[in-house]
Amino acid sequence: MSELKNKIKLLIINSLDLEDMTIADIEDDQPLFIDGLGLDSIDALELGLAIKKEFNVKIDANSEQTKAHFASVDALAEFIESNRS
Amino acid sequence: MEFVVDNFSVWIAPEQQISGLESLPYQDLDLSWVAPMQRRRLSPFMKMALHCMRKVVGEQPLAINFSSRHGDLPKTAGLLDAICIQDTLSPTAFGLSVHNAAVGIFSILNNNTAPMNAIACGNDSIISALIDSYARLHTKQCDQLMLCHVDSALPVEYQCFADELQVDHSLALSLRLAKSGEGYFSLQPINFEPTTEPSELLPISIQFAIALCNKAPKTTLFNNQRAWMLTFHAG
Repeated sequence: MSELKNKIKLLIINSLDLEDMTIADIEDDQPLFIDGLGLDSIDALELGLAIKKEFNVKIDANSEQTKAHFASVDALAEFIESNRS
Repeated sequence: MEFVVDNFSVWIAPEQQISGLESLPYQDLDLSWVAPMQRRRLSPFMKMALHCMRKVVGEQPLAINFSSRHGDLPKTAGLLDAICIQDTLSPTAFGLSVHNAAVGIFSILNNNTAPMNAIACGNDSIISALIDSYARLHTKQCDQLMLCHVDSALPVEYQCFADELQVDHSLALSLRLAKSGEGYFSLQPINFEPTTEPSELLPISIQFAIALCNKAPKTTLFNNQRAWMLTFHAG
């Protein structure tokens, strides 16, 4: 699981062009949006696309659950682990 | 068409082995005023546009005329490539690929609520932007405005269509009408048959920048279709 989390962190950094950031700078349970890492709605779309490509996971943009899956690296890892094909 | 240029900034990609560019000052791109979380999304095209606009406009709201022959073509070409292979488009790249994206981002970063135009008019784009600027000043829609012109070198797959030299460049200038007794520039269409090969022809925007830098009394600006005389009248 920690390997998956590092993969997700690297994907966040690369797909969102987070200059000067390393995987050590992102906590597993840190909120990704607004007050945490400071990502916004465009980042959510970009990250959703990157996750879909990298892990072959279907993401339902209209689902209320999706917001919860994107809350942190922990939440994303759990979501990917239980949904990837 | 007569106008005064108060402030002027130009940025040319370094290490160009092109004759005529040596008179333009080189400066590093300064985007220190853009927050890192916003800066990360900016393409090279957007960065050179914002750099020059900020140098000219400062923090005061100012109407803007933006022009570019091809817009952010490296980005647009990437999107078209993705469509061709039926890949999903990047939301960020798509959102920032529209022609007025650079002035839109600039207006957000600077809280600039003044009116803005974005013009694409072939290899005459900067001339069209100058004409539109003059019209806005002459009809008193504003007392002063900023013109910004930006173009990137064509991506490799489009270079077979090049009809002039390909140089990443950006320039911005603030324009207003002349007051009595002060120096001003005039621009008039002229008949002229250029003999320069496309491989040696500088874009008009760069010819214009060189003329402004040198304050040359008379400069013929030309492409392979049309020509204008830019004259500096000392006050």
